Amino acid sequence: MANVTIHVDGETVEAQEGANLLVALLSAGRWLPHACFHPALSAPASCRLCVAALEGPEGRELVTSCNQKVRGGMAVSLDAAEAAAARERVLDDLLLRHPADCAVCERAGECELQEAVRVAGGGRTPSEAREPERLVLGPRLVLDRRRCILCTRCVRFGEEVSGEPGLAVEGGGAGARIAAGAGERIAGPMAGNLLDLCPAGALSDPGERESPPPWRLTGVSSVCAGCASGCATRVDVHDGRVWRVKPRPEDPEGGFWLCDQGRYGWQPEGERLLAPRREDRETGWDTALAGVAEEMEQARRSAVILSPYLTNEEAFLLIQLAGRWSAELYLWEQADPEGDRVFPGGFTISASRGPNAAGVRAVARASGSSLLPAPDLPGGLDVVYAVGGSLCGEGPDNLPVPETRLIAHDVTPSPLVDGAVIALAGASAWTEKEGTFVDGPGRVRRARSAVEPPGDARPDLWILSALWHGGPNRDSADQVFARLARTRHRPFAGLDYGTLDEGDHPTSGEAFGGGWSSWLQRRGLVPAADLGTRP
Amino acid sequence: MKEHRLLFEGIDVPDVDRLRVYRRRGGGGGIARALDLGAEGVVDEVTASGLQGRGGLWRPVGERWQTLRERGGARYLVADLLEPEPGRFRDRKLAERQPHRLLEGVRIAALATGASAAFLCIRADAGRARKVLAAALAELREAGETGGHGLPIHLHPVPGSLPVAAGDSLPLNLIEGGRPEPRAADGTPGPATTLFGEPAAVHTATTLGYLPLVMAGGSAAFRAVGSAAAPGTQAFCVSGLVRRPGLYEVALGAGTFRGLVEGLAGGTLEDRPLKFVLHSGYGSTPVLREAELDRPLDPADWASPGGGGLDGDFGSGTVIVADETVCAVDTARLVAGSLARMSCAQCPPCREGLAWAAGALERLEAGASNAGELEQLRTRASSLTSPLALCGHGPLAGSSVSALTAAFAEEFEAHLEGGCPVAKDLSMKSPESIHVRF
Repeated sequence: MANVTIHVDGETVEAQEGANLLVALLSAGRWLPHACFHPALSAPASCRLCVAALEGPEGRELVTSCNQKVRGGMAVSLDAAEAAAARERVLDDLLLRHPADCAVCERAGECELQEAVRVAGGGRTPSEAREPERLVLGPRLVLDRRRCILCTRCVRFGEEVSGEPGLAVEGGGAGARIAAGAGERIAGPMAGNLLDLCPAGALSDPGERESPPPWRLTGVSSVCAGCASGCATRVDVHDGRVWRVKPRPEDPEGGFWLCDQGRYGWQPEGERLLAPRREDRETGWDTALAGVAEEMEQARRSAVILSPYLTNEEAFLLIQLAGRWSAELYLWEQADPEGDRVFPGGFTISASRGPNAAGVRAVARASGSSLLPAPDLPGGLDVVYAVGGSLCGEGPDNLPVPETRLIAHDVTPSPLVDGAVIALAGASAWTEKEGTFVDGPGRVRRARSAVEPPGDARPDLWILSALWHGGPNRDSADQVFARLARTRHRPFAGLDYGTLDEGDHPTSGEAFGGGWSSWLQRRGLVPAADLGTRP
Repeated sequence: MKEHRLLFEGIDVPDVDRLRVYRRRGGGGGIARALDLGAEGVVDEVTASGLQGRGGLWRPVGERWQTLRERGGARYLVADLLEPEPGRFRDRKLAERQPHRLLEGVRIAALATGASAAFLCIRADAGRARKVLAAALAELREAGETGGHGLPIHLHPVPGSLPVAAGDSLPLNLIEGGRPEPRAADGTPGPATTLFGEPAAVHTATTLGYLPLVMAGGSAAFRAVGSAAAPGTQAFCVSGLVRRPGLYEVALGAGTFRGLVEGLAGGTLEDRPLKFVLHSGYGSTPVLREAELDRPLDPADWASPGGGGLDGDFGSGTVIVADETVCAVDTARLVAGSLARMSCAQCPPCREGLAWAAGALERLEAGASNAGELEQLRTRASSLTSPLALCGHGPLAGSSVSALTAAFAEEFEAHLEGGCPVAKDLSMKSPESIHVRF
């Protein structure tokens, strides 16, 4: 598509010929209210909110911008009084029966409708409240039909993106409503995205009632640790606690969607390991680490099993430690036997569990070491240092216990920890690690620590660095990464945290909405060309 | 004023809905000549005839086909028999009484546009029309005229209440199995009407019904009837409080609404003073009061579609008559309420705004409204224009309520003082109960 200029209220704006006019306007920092439009869905042009005036040779024509294409030299007016009046009128209509219960609404503060009314007006005609009508669609999804403005984003999401049979518009006129199919349940791994899609708080998670309001949350940019797809996430924290995880489309590799495993998987199913343990008793870090060094150094034959939940930096340190201990290197992996799950809209859940199997392999190559698959672990080992890291008890499953003394490095009590002489309490790859992952397509991605590990658990980098130095000389993640980059191996060569941070537009505090609405909050950060191609 | 039957010619002949009888009376001559002339010849003949679409927009059929052919023609032909407007029953009656004339028109149009399949999109509740059409299609198939090597014609019944003035995309969406709602044009110039991704030509059934007459009799004979700018006839659906409600086919330009209502339809029931006429059904602008009934039955004389000197829109020939026992506010309530229920619920001004307007009019009728709300009603109705809705349904409702408030401003004001002052005898009959003359 050729770059062209268009005129918006007298200003010249760069756009691409044939691009969606609304996206071009939003990308240029000119905001228009819109409800049915979503850049990853078809545009029915049914909410009539994004009205703009096209200045043509035959005079001014009011159009909805979401179904117009950019044409070079076109003149658009958003400030035209008729266009502003039309937008206000439509919002007024939308509020006729919307309950405006913002004080108790889960979406208040990050609601697209609220934002639109705040800026573009509406609410002049006295409204009639509708009867409450709540429909439970799932354990984390409730539809409040009073708040619904029938934008049909949720319907189109089911048809176009998730391919999961779900919601439909039922009836006509003012009686039209969103209805669920048989069983009235929305199951499936993409259901959580409906929370981000809904522009009016009609779809919400009952659990959100417990959460602080969005304006108290601070967003931390990170990468999902669920699978090798490496979706860009924003971890929303308040008071040292994670409250929710949202997709982060403003990242160049980010999309509008997150599967439910990514959205909710950061919460451990059971308890966490809160302190290092030796012989099943909690102990201090000094004792535990000294024990590990002693076990590994005294072993005649030992092995280290790396985990796909390790960051590149952690893997780098652990591989160096393995060299010092003359330990053989293995990597455990878990793959969904059914393979990658690709949704109709292109979104993919990778078959490879954990965020960084590719990265651990790349680090091993960069370190000149060879990695064997964990199932090839031989018998006759004295000591095995095995890293888990999954929050749901995954890990290497064929350890030759009891003849082998096992050192477990994990985040939750697991079969690994049960069989261990020493257990090290590490950090969750989802929300507590500072470092980088290499995702399935081979891109280096920056994960950030949003909260501290609980209790006496420590970030894995801290643990490994303490083992390496045998004392308090701790490496920071960026220092370790710099060493990794100096190996000049792909994909790390030439990268540093400065470049990576610049590339992924880290969130600086705001925790507005999710997906498209958070993109809007930071509008202007993503070039329009990218939006059309996002999964 | 006299009837002039072209479209409904011969409906009194017994069994004219049978192919045998239809053919004996000269039916089939249109398609025979069309096949002789070929597609281009048909388009030329129809262009020369000046035939205009009868859906309400009065677009010239020949020119539409020429444009379509320049763009490569159509893959599908769709006959639209939906006519969801209350009080309109022309297409349904055509299907019931002259099914073979309609089907012959479908075949001529398919030939002209290059379509290789045709759909008849009809409401499921038009039971008799469906039955008659199905029987007629079976006869054609048996005669080897459709199916096999002929044009496949599918009867496609669709459920539900539908938006009016929703445009060509409504039947297309329905045939594709979608919700009963129109689609927005995608902003690119050119034909936005596609069916299963292929270009489609959509015509109101009545329009297609004229094609056998144009082709068999020739364009000159067709032009001999009607006015210069609007050749042919129009079958007006007259209903409401008249003596003889029904379908009256008259030559365009040959009379007035007064002649239609007071002459052909026999005037008001019990000769009560006529109050107003909704000359284009629930989408009438303006509302014709008694003194304005001498407006001509010729679209060319009206601002829309002909660019003539008379304000307002000639419309689709759905005439609803009200006498002095009918309240204008109550009529507006009925219009807004019905159209609110028929809204497809896509656009907020139509879905929410019309329901609100119906509620406000109900309050006004009951004397429970106030001057502020009436003012708001007027503003909202008059501003419900094209960018606020993706089809014509909402704007039609808005202009209709506006026309009533404009024509009967005093009566609306009077309702503010304690409710309806009109001595009602009968409210307007609902269109479903209208007895049709045939």
